[in-house]
Amino acid sequence: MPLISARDLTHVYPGGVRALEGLTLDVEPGIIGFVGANGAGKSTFMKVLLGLLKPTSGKVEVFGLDTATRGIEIRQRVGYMPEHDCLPPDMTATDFVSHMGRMSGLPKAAARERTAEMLRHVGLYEERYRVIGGYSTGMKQRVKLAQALVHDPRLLLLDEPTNGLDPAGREEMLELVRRTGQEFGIAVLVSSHLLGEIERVCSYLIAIDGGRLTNAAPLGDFTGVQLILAVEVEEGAEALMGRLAAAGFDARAEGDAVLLPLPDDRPYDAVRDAAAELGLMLVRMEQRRDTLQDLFRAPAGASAGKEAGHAARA
Amino acid sequence: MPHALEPAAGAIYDIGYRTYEGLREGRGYAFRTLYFHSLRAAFGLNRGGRALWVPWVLFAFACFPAAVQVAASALSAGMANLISYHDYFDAVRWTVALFCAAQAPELVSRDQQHRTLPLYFSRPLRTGDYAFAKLLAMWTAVVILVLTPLLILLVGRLSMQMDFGAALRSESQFFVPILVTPVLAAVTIGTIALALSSLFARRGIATAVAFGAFFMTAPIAEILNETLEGDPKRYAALVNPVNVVQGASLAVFDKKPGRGDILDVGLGPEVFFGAVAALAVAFTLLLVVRYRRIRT
Repeated sequence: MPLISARDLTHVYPGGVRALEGLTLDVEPGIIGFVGANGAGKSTFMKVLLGLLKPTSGKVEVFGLDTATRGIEIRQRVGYMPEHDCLPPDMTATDFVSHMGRMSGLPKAAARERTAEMLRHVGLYEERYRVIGGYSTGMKQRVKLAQALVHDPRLLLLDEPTNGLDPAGREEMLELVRRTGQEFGIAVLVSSHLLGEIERVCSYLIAIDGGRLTNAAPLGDFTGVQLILAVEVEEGAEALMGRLAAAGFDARAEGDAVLLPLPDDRPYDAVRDAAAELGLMLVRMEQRRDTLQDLFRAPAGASAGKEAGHAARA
Repeated sequence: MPHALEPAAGAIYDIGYRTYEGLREGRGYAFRTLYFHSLRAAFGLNRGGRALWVPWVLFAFACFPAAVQVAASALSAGMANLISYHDYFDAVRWTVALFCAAQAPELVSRDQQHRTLPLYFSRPLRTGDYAFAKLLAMWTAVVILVLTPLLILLVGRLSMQMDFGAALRSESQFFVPILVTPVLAAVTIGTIALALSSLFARRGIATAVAFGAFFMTAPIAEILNETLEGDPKRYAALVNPVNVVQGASLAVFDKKPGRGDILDVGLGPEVFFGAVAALAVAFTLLLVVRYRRIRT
């Protein structure tokens, strides 16, 4: 029995916006990356899973329970971290997470105990006795994660958990997501509009666009994929390609860019030497996972290359 | 959990993630949790020091006349009778209205302002449960606010008497109206304040609208009473919900409004009870519809 099973799921908001359009997919436990551009229907799908929104047509089951009729049972074992701010600024993190634990059905003593554990897991220590209003964005994201975990859910829905965080904060949040999925053994559906960001922690990827499924595959399918180095030059791409081919690299053209496999660091040196000898203007260099980008083409793929690789300007 | 058995390197305090195998309560428990949480919020508890000021100052105002009466009665050996049970709501009605206008947004608007509602609705609770838990908490808060001074009066009067048993028997005729008056205030003023507040995410706006519903309608009722003739004149007072509660409260004490009072127009108790019921039902429906339609 799949963890989540959607059949021909359509949701139309009052006003006519079609957020989900005949979405059919099965999700197995693991860390599932849920990618799509803003407005692709990711948040809507999560709200339908929770029973916060009723499907206009079609059906979706979580743990084999129909969301339309068994919402209470589902919500007892699902944790949800919304994309937006959702914390009262005048309560302490301890009081708030403990209250949310009790709202999920934990007796008072258990809620207190698990609140302390969860806040420690997400990395909040002495701050947890201070009111949330004084927290940084990163600390608030941690409290949001803690309140979603406090009742030990079987499934965690994380809606854009890295939104608004600086690069270090993103790394820490992704590491928390990875630990939650791998060490805690909780199934995680984590959405992002940045494929390159979440692919590192996921075991499975689902891409949607315009409310429709565009792709779904285990990340294991991509592990054999080689990294690709894409080089853009102002002019003289042909000459660069010839020079690289002569040096023994399997270079090919794609538009204005030259692509070559990147098994190690040697191609960087070759490109540098070739550009210097030919006197070329380098515009940009970046790493890509070519197959992944093919699989998750627009819109997620468009951002994948930029995020996954470090672009260099010369 | 196999991870619990492997000590993490360099972090002996990290006992790993522990699953929860204990009791999980359901919808009724979530409802009760939200009810008590909201009741405490109505009195500014669990919200830091500043949230305490408004509810407790108003609570002190509501109890002040009763305390004065008890003190005066004690000093004058039971002769001074400044205020009695049936006058009491009249004396504190604007305090009660102010309390509701100020605290109802604490219960419902802040969850919208800070967008906490999705967290509640993603838990084992229905939207209607949320609305009724909040309503019940509001009612309880108003009952506490209005009943406490009446109980202070009652205890004061009982302690003045030598024969406690006889005193209890003579006061027993007031027990029902003492208990009913707070309920009338709760289901009318409390429900209106909560339903109106639920429409606004901003606390200041919610307070202003509820305040207007209670305080702006009072002069309107006066003007209508002055300018209209016949039946419309008699019913003009009912434009103000606080007047409705005052009239119903006098009716349960079996008292008549004072001469010249806006309520001194010969309306029967059934009119006031009917108005209380109509307002309570109408604004409860507004609240329920609001949460059925709300988008989170």
